[in-house]
Amino acid sequence: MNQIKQKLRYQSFPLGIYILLLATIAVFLASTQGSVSPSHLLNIARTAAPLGIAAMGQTIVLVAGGLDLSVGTTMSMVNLVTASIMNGDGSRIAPAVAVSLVLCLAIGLVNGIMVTKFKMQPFLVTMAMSIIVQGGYYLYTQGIARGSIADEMRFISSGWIGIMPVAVIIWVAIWILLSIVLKKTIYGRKLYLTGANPAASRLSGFHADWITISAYVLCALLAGLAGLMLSAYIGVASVDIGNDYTLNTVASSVIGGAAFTGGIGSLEGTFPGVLIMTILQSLMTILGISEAGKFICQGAVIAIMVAINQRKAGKQ
Amino acid sequence: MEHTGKMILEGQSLSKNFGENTVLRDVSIQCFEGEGLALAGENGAGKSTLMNIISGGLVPSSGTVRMDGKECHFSSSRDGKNAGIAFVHQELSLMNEMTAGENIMLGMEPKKGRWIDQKKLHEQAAGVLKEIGYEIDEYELVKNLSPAQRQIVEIAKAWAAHPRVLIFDEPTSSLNKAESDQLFDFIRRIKKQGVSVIVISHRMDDIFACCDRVIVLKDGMFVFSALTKDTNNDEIISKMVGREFKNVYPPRNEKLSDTIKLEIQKGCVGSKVKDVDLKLPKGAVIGIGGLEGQGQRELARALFGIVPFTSGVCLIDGEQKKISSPVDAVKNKIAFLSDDRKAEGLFLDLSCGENILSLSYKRNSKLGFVKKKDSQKEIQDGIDQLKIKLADARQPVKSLSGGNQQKIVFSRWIKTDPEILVLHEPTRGIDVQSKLEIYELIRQLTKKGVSVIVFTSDMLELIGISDEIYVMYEGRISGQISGKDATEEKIMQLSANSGKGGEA
Repeated sequence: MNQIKQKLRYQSFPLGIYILLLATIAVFLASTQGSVSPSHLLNIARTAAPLGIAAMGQTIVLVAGGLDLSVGTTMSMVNLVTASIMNGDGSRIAPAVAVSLVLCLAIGLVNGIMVTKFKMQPFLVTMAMSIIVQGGYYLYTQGIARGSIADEMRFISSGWIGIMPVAVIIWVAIWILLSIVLKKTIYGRKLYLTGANPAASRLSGFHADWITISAYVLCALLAGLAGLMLSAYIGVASVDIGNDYTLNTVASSVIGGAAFTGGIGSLEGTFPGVLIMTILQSLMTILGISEAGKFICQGAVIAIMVAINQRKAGKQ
Repeated sequence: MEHTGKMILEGQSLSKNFGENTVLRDVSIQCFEGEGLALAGENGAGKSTLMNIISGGLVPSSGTVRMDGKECHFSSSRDGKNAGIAFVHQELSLMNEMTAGENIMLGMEPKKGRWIDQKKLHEQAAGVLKEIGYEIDEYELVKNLSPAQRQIVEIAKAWAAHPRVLIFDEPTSSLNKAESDQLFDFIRRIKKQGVSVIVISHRMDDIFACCDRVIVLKDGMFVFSALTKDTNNDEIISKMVGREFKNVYPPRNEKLSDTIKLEIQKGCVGSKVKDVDLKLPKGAVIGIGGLEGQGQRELARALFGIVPFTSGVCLIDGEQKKISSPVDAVKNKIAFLSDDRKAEGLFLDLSCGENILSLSYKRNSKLGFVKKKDSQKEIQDGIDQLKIKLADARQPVKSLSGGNQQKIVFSRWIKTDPEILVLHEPTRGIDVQSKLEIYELIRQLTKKGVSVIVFTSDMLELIGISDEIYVMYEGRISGQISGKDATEEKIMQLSANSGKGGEA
């Protein structure tokens, strides 16, 4: 028994969060009293894919010791830019996607450079970036969203391959890929080290600043991809469509065990974190809980998870 | 034993468990009015735990604490403070953005009506500092103070409440000799006023300078107690490590190599380091000493490219090199141990294994992927080689004692196969046993041809470990003495620039 305890104590795999996920699913199934089929759950997972992808970026930035508050407006921007360039024309998918992702790349680079080279607080830099991006797309659209998404592209969020939604396949594929990068590669390890202690990382002869910048760039690109998924899901341009995602990505990462201190967190934790957030939202909608009630419940879940993670860290 | 005053504070059969881990076993301690009591022992011996119980920071698992014969049940350090027990922690806990004065008077601010009277507050703080005998501008922000000054502010903060029992945890670890002496003066003065002082220390100098009685703990148990006048260094150290212990330092090199590994000519760093000439023979240990703040820190950091030399020439193996960043330094096989292990040397929240591995990913990976088996072997080798005491390589490094943490720092750098090792305060705040092991390790490395520069403020360490000693004064090298001929007096003379000792 003691040996098992010892083993579990230093286990880095976030077992607790998976137990919570199972519990959430159980509650969901119980409270809908069997009226929900497994495919309904997959459908929920499908709608969660944009959040899932954006949250991975947020986790990477949190692990690197930062915070990105421009995720949501970046997604909104991608939606507006893609839809307006594409305007329903399938032949213009490539330029639309390319322009969007280049803009994301630029946003990530600027965030990263401001944080590292100018030693500014991530909170302030990315908040300012968020406001600038928002202002930028207001100017671009003149306040009226124009354009729509080509049907070919809508496949990535509404299509199914066999019993699996395409959106979930894309999400899980990126998840596995990035998990391997974070866990198994030198780059991933250095990302954790730099987040845990930037000064020690610099004194280890790492290119610490570039590691941090790369995290912001990755996050912005993932936000861009999430914006594309979201656009494909709703099919049209819509002003401010992604803005809620900023806090939801932070919440999912934190539920999944990421800490604001840097160096702590994992994509294995963020994945169920996203699912828990989304299933809870669905559950509350099905149960007919008001918007206000949803906010209170979400807030409570986040607070409780932070408390649990804190306690766990303290015990070690 | 003879005691003059009356007993103030008593701990009886105190024990403390954390889960199944017993860190303190049935230890009793008495403290008399006006007495200086030293508490010695290796890291992890239970000294801090015992003092935390006495001062209210921890609740004992069993046993009682009595003050003036009355049983106390402290549930927080605030209770302890109210009862007249103040604890000066080793980990500094000051507010960086507040002035020295505000920190000192924290929680005791004088009021003018509803508002804090800033002027009176700073006057009172200045009074406290004067009582202790140091000069620090009470209006200076703490973030602008040196580590030594912060330590003094911390002491002033504890003393401001005028406690009856004042506990120090490693009070001199960031003070130089003159500052330490001033602190000992202060301690002797307050003892005369009837205040009891308990000093936790590794340093024998501290113990003999200001304590009347010494208690040694080992592995959470009481092992030895004596009046300081009836005992000596060797006896205390042997009780601490549990074996006889005479010469701490491994033998020096018989003869220095003629090959010069690293040479600095007219090295300057702003106005902090001026025209430093330095020659490091291959396989030698060069010690750099002097009073605190004479440019040693800047020189150490310039050697590793953190704040590069502003002028001067750096030759490695006779070739001119420019080390303008840690990246360059690592490429040139230089390793650097910072004096601030926690802030710059370790990734505290990450596992011991990750820390050990963090500089040797390259050779344990393929195409950028870290190989699991190889890296686990690498970690285990590191743990075995330096005898690092840990329960599991996955435990976070912050859960280890200072000595073991420092061994991890050494371990990660050794794995880069460095040719030049720049050590800044390599044994600060670590236990005797680990110190010995680190000295041994340094000598072993020099035998393999590694050249070492040690920056240390510990005079005995400087003399004990160096083949050649350079002393710094106001940014310049004020003298050079061979390690064999060095004595504390000669080095003090050079440090104060008052004589022409040595060959300089």
